[in-house]
Amino acid sequence: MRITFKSSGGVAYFPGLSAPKTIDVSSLPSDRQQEIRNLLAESRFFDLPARTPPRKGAADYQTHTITVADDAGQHTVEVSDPVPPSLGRLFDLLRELS
Amino acid sequence: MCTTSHRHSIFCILPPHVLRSIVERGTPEQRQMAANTLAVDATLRAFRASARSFEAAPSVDALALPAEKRCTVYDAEHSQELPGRRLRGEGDPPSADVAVNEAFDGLTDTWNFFWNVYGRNSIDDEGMALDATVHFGSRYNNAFWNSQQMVFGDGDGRLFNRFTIALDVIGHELGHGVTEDEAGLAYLFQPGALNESMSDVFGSLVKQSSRNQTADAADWLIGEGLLAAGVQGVALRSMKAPGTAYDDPVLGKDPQPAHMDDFVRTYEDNGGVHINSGIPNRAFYLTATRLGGYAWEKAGRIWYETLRDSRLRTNSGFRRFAALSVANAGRLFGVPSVEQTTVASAWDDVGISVGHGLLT
Repeated sequence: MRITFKSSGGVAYFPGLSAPKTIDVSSLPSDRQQEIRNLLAESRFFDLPARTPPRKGAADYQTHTITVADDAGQHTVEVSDPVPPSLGRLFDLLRELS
Repeated sequence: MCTTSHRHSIFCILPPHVLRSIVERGTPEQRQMAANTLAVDATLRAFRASARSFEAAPSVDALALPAEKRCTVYDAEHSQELPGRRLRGEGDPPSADVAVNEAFDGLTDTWNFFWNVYGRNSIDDEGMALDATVHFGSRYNNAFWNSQQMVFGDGDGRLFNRFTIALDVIGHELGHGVTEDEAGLAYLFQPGALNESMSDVFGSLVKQSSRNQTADAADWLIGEGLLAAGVQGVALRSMKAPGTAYDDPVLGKDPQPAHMDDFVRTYEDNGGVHINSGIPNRAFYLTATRLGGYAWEKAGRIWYETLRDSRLRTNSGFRRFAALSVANAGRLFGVPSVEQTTVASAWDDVGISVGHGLLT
């Protein structure tokens, strides 16, 4: 399983922070792999819509994109702040691991 | 009587038919009170219904009740749930939490600026409550406007300090509410860059006003103090010299252009809204510093009136805004006038030529 994620937007656009990052989940320690799978299940990741647009009039929010690819296929989700709690925890974990 | 609990008491006025009834049937004192209220009420209604261009801000005496600030700060306690736990409101003493106080003071300064300088009663000019949530998320490197309230992260301490630290960022975020209320500029491509620039203008003016700075004394930086120690940069953006705010191994180099020749065509950042805002930012900086004095008195007024001009559409770009700013400068200060000429030449200097008298 590979996860590619990126966060864009915010109060300013920083070129150095806008590049996507990729994690090869199968190369992680098994407890981390399990943590990721738990968060994917908890957030019902594979059932989430591809894109949740931000509220009209919102500004300077960050937009987070995450693609999970495995043998079964691939699913991409794009959400803007504020992010649902379990998805937020997944992002925090991915950032920590990258 | 009034049953609404969430809006300002100015809305709880007696309806005209009740007042007229009192005028006809009340005691002399009641009739006088009702007649006065009807007169003010008629003025208020006419004021709201009329074209939105006024030479001067209405005086407080002209309104039925004084405008009332309603600022509240909440704590998300590192979750992403909004608004969070209420910590400080009007009349409450300062908190032990510096972020709470900074947010509260920033909301207050912004409300005071709009009221004192432009006679605008909060973001929507109708006394909207100003809410802010601090400690949003975990080491969250951002602050944003969610369309109804401000949200602040703590920063990770490595790249960014807490986001309440910069008054202009607070003014910037609340400015988005003003722009949405007046012009609804779409948050995409050129209209989005205008939207962003308008917020930088407001944020700057709030900061300059709080420091009682004239245009030439101001630093024209947005978010100074926000970048953590060790980061190669001074601010998020420079209105004076777009593209020079930072050049850091991790953040990259400030990508803002200062001229249309360097306009960035991209699908990143909603079409570069935080990037191309450098161009109108510089036009404002040039206008303000060339006119001299306090930036909010002339340059700021021209920009504010342009924002409120009904000819500014949700999809307006730089050229239309520039033309309207020249037209509004003429309306406010005369045709011809130093002010109008200065605005036109400022836009010219950033690569947007506006004919005089194209719009009046």
